[in-house]
Amino acid sequence: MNLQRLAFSLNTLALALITAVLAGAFVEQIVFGELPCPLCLLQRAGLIAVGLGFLLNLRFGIQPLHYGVTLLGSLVGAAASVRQILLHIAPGDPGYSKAVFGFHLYTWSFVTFVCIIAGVAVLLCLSNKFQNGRPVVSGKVTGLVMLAFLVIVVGNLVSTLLECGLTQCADDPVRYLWLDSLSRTFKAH
Amino acid sequence: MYIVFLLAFISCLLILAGHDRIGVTASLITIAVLAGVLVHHMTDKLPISL
Repeated sequence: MNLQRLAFSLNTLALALITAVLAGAFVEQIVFGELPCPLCLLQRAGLIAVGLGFLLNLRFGIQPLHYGVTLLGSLVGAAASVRQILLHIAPGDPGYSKAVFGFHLYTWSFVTFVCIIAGVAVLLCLSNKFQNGRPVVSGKVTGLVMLAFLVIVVGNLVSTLLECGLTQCADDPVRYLWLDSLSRTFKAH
Repeated sequence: MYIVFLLAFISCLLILAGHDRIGVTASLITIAVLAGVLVHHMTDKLPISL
């Protein structure tokens, strides 16, 4: 397997992992009924921005510009994670939501963004000859991963609209704004 | 907040539809808006309600 092909496969794997992490966040939201806070949503959006860079690589070929998109998304996502970590850093603060393997999700989120930055650095080292926009022929798996990513993005858009509507999200959300409005409307009729 | 996900969705569609340059531009705009919303969250000073 040449380096170009390896880099393409790693980009597919990275997009698949990002999609899986976002799907996991959805499972926590829907199954355990934990609504995402505004900073949690920003971290999700950061992951999606990272995914856009990988998606560009898979669709149009591996280019430094696309890795730049990934790095910028990582930096903004990491900033949102650090912001939330610092909000709960005081001794005695229980933090937001449950801890998973000893860390809260926003801490894991920060670790993820740092790993992505390190991973992109490795991928940039692998891609010593860029393809100048020629995409590697993608298989069914890559197509499925790209489709799954699109579905997750749509899911986040719909979920955010249901939770926050067209206004600012509540700092500590306990209900879906639009879903409650809809149910009240139906009850009134 | 929805505006970030809406822009990300539009970026995805543009990329998957094969628009290279516009896809990159839309992705960068998404990140810029995301950064703006983060700053707004931290300062609450920007005149937006997203």
